[in-house]
Amino acid sequence: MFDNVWLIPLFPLIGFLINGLFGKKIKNETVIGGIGAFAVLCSFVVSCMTILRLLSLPIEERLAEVKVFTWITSGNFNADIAFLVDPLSCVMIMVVTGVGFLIHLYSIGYMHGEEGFYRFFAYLNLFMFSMLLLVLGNNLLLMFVGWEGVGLCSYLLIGYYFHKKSAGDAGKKAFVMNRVGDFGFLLGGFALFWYLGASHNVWTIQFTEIAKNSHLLPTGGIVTVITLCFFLGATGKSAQIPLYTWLPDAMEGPTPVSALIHAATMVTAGVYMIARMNFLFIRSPETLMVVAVIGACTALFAATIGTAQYDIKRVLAYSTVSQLGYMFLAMGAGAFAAGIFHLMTHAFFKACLFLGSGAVIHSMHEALHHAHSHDDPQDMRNMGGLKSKMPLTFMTFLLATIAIAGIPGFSGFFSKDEILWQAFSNQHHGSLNYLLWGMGAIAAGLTAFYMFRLVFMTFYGESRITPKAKDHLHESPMIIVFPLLVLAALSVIGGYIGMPKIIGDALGGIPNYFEHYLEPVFRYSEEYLSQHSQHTALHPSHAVEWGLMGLSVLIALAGITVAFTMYVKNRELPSRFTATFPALHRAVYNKWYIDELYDFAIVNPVKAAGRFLWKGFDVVIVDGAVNGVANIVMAFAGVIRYLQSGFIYNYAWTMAFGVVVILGYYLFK
Amino acid sequence: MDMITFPTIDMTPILPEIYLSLLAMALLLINVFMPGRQKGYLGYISFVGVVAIAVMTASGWGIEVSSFSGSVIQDKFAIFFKIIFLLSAGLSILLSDQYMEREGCNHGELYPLILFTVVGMMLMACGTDLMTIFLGLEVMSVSLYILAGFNRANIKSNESGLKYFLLGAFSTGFLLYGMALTYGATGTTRIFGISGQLSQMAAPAANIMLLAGMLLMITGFAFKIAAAPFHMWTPDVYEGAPTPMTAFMSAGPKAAGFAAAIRILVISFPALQPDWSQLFWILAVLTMTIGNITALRQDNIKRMLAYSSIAHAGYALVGFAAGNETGVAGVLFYMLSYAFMNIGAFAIVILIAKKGETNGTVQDFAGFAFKRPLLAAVMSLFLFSLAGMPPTAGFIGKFYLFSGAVQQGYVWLAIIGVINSAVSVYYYLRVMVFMYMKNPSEEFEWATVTAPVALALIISAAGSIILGVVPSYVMQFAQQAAKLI
Amino acid sequence: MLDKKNLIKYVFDVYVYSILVFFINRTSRHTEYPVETILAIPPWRLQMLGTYLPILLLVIVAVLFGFVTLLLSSLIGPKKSSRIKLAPYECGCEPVGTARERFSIKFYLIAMLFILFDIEAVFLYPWAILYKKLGVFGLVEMGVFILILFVGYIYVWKKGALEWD
Repeated sequence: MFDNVWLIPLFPLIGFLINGLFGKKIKNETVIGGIGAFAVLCSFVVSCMTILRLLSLPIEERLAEVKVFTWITSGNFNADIAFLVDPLSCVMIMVVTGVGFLIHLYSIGYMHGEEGFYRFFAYLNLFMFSMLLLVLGNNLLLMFVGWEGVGLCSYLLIGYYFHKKSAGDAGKKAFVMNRVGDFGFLLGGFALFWYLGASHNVWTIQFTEIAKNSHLLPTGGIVTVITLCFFLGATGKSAQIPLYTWLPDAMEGPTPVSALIHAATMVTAGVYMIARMNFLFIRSPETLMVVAVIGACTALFAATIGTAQYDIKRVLAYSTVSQLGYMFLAMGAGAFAAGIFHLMTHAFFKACLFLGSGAVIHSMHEALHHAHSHDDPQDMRNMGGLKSKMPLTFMTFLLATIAIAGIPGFSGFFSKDEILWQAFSNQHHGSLNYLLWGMGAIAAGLTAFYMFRLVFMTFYGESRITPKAKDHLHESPMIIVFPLLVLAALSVIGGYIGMPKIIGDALGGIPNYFEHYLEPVFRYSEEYLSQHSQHTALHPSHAVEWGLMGLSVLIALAGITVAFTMYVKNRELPSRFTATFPALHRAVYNKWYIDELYDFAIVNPVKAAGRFLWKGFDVVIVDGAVNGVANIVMAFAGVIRYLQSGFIYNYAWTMAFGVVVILGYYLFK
Repeated sequence: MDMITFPTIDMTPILPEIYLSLLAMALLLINVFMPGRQKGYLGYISFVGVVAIAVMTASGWGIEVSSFSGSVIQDKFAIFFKIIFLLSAGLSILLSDQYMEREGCNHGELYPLILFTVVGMMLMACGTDLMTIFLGLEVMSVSLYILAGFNRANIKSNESGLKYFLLGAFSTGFLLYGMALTYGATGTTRIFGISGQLSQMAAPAANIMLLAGMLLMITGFAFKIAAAPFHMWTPDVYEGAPTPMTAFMSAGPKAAGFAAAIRILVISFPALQPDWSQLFWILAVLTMTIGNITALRQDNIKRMLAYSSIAHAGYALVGFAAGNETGVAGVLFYMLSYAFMNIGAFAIVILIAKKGETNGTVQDFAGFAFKRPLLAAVMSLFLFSLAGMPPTAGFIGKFYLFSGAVQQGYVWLAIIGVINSAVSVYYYLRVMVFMYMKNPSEEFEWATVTAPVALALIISAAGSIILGVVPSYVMQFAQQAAKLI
Repeated sequence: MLDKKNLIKYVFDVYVYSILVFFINRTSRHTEYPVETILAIPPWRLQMLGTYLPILLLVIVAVLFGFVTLLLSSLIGPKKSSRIKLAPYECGCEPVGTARERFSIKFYLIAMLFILFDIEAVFLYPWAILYKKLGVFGLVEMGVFILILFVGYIYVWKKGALEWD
């Protein structure tokens, strides 16, 4: 049926191998970029065929597993290289390959002339491969392979400009935080495998098998532990509190990378993972609450930080963190379809925004370069008035901004409103719902504010660079603009396939296609809920729903108005505001000092421990005798120093000691 | 006068050993009778011989023969390990010529010594009598002592050989004492006989002599596999020994130690499994943790890989502690993967280093990826595999080991293992950071890759990938081999 | 029973057996076999002891040889003693001096080679004792054993380890 689905990840892999092995010899940028983009295009075509075939099937048959070969077998444990084709994975591959292809195209123009062009495309294709493996894998282990793979590519691409120290540090930070998350993922996987196996003799890691046997799992208890572990994994990958600080720093990578990996695809892996294992998460009300609260908090918190950033990409980064928070809020509300819907629309408009910002930076960079200015091309305080210079970029950027701000009729409105409504009306969190909705709504207002602030500062007003540089500002080439146009179009119309029911009804019974389409994926959760519904679902009236919708739109409009007042009409306001509340501004500008807090609470102690180990093991033992440092650190390395001293008798003593301890313990216990 | 009855002698189980010995002796004579200082051709001969013997050994798969009154056996377990030994020897032979030529110690004795080491290791794997195993261990060890100190002109190599010799002799004492006590307690040195005696004892765990014998044997093997706290020799010896021999030592003898220890403990001492499982639990945790933590700040790449090899012994011990079929199969699989990935990594280290073992720090890898992208990619593959990242052999190997532990109920052990491998990523990645994210230093003189080294790299890279992507094929052999009892 | 042919053998039997009895009485507290009992056994029943005869002979000859040669040389050799001549003989080395002297690695080499082939010789003894019983099998086995060591010998020889310089 779906026999050729394995081609989808294969094409990027081939692209990676060609560019990675021979890219240096090819040299011709068009060929390298062409190979990279074409590989993804092929995947996209196959993905389209796959989803069309899936749609042609009756709803209950929309599930297939395509086994390529047996990967690991050990006793009762079995893991295949096999792909899972269902509505959820099809959405994901469409988003990943579709947006991915556009970004590849864009990169050909954007990365033109960069050193290591082939390297970039090789990594990018490797990323596509890993991401497709992640979303298509039919078992936990294969998903983990993809999970690690995307993390690695993210690391490599963040550190792409490795000669910049900040880039290297950002890469390291991303890697470390992701490792923390991965640890959670692994632990959750182990616990799930072990629990199902040991207590129910179901040894499996296949999603479909786990889903079928999910009725064996209890409510709460061990499931809470398992799901919390998985959620820890998700917070790492998807940059949620407390592991979100790496994402803004990840903006050190080239802009297409930020668009592809750190906005549209990889960072949504956590959301996808929860949706994939919805039948687990629905069984733990506690976890759902944690997910919802963390999501709402992240959405609000990151939005506040976004309001005071000047670096154009950092604003977008915090925006991404915030929007991911929305998705998790949806997951926590049990509205998995809504979360995935927002994932999709977000991929469209955020990719568009990032690529647009990339075009702006590119243009600014060249202009400043020509004027021999050392101003930061990413700082919005240096921009302004770009509307006339880059009309196409401006237009697409504006459309995407309207979409993210949640103006009715654009994609972001539908998905965000659906999430807010689900947060308000879901049956899981009781009166906490009001708080969740409130946080989401305020975050929406802040989003509208900072996004329009960004637009106004960048495209409106007077240009703030030297006139000499100003003359060099220009619209980007077609290969850069084309993806922007496509993505902008999608940001506008992408929402109509998932119109909230209430709007659809009002418009004469247009169904929520997207939700219906995803329904089979969440079948087991629905079954569970229908059997175990503890809380009675809130059934607010339609009037309430319309009212809330209107309110959130009003809040968004208010945000835009404030931004307009502050950054277009009355431009002294921001500085006056800063002057009035200096402490508040400083705190927000410095991201609420979260990085500093982490440095103080976690990084420094760990560093101290590392330093201790280094001094203890390395210096004392290896170099100690030579350079005399031994004296300094002797105090706390006495015992250890004794061990690895290089003297045979010490080694022999240690061995003898070990023997004595072992014998002593076992013979006299 | 009673007639001496000769055992019916079926040479099958030790045929590979016999052929290897003959080959080694022939090489020894060729070496002295052929003039000239170029000894590379001996390497080619021994490589071809090793391949042929590997084919011969593998063809015995499934045919179980025990001979010499039950002193040696040919079973799947032995064959699997013999293949690992031959593989690591073959790869090391391929690496040797270029290195030895550069270091100016290209003596022809190297190859016979490697082959004799393999003979010893093979006897350890197929021996079913404590004496045979001990004999094998001594043949292996004595040859290794010489190999470690093979670069006579280099003082570090001398130090390495001497330290290995003295400490090895020390540990052998424990081992032999353990064997003697076991013999005293059971009256036999046949490992099947011991288990028979144990099954007749009312409370074998209460038999102090037996218990002490087992524990002392464990400490002896723990030395060979470099398990903490018997690991102290490893960094010094690995650092000083000629690099191809370090590669060999880290793969082959470690596997041999596991082979003998597994056979003795699983077959002879199932009655004491709670005790030795617990002991290996502790040793595994100690070994992993000490190895990884100490490796974190090593700058010398050989020393780092030495500590990492300690850590890897710790991972393998996790499977051993589990003691079940999955765990043991995991150890077998892991030893095979480790031979590929570790020797591969050492091959790159050989190419990076310059005469006199200089240029061997992590910093010296700076910019490697720009000048030699392919080699750097291969090195990354090995490092990934060592770090246990999917989809490489190391990942699958660790996966089996840990899942063996989980199946046995040692969830905490598996978790500690996972944490440890997470820590280990740091120092492997550090090398990659230098390769890919640092600018190369001024002078750039990478050694050329000779054909044998290229072949070794291809084999180890292929192995690291194939075992990671299609592990089930090899794993089924490992699982059959692990069905010991 | 006693004929001339066996007379010498008989005499020695008695001799050996009396020595044994002596030692048994001296060293053992066991009185199960007092001298009287043993003496009561007719000598020809003690033939077993005769198997020790060659050893005894050898011991006697060795001791005699040592004494005789020393005696002879002191009797017929000229005596012109000097300081050096009276010093203990030490294979050409200084007999007096620090004990922590470094000496040539060649000594070790020779010593090691000596031990190797010495042990080879040791292994030949038990084989030689059971030579007939081991038959062809033993012969082949020994042949293999010697061959292996022979390879080593040739190696050592060609390598020049047997030459002092």
